[in-house]
Amino acid sequence: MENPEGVIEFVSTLASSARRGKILFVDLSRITRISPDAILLLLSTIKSKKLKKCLTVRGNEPTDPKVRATFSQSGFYAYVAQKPKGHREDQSLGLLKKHEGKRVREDICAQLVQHATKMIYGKPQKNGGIYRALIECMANTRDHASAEGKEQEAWWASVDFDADKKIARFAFLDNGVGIFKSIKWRNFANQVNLAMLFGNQASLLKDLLDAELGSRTGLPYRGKGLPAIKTAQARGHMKNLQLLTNKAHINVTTGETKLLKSEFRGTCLTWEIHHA
Amino acid sequence: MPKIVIAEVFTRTPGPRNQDEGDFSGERFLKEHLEPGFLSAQATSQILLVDLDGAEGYATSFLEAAFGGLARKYSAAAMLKTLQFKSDEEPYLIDEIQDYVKQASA
Repeated sequence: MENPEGVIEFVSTLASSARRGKILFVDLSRITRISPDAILLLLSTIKSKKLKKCLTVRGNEPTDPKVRATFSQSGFYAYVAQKPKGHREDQSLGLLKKHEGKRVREDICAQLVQHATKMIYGKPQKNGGIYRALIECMANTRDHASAEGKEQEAWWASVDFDADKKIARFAFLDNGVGIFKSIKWRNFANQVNLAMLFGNQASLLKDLLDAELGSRTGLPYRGKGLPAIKTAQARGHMKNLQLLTNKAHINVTTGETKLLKSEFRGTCLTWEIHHA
Repeated sequence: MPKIVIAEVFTRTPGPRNQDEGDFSGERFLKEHLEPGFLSAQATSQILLVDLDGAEGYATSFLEAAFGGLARKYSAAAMLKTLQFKSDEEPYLIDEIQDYVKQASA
């Protein structure tokens, strides 16, 4: 998430460009650099309900060979109909999964962790913190991402490997309502007011991660998921944890929070494993 | 000493809180293994060892549903008197479980 503002602006433009019965063409040719989480965000937008009204969504390949390789290794082309000439699915470096449905997929969590640790260490290893983070993310999407009365939101998860830096990078996202539009603000009426809720999301995000605001359900023993993900970083299970939702972005490592100009409809978490 | 090795008798991939959320939920573990094991140990005045090693990991919601759930039903005191825990791979899980148990009875 090096440039959350720019990426959100692009996917918002993409989503708002969808026209019923028209072809939407996504020009990727001039991309000079892209991170795996941005690819996931792009893919989830292309496959979103908003763009389903288009007759079809097409695109071209990046011109830059490094960027082309990043797309190819990410698993992106497994989810789009149009593939580059001579493309072959290769999941030796990247793994990308999507799930629509109400159940948390424990098997996919295990698969992602095992894939990442195999790339980093040469063989699969346990990482309880990351496994936990993935379960929590899936459960949160299930419980909170969908607008009231609407169908279940899908989630997307990916892991890729930077062989030069020996870093495995995870991304998890949904294109739901985002944390701040899922909050039953009535539960927090004694702590925040509406103006704060929608004007100071970055600071509130920090409070959520620190377990200061409790659960969105209002039950006292709930609401431990996000803080637990933050704790996984504190315990050394992951590095460089970042969270993007609605208009808030937080880099948990540096503590830096940003209130964004554009809104991301959804929730996206990214983190890494570094070879020691 | 009776014991429950979660990764052997239940699953290596523990899941979310409730049964309708995933295949290997804390709720299901509580119903199928933890509660029967607890009651059996209690009836025979034995300690039940719960071994958390060997699994991929544990969500907070799984642990709270299972152990917090047991404490809500039978009390923290009864639970902590009858259960012991082993977690060499993730030692902090034991402290977490004890916190959930205490909060469940608060």
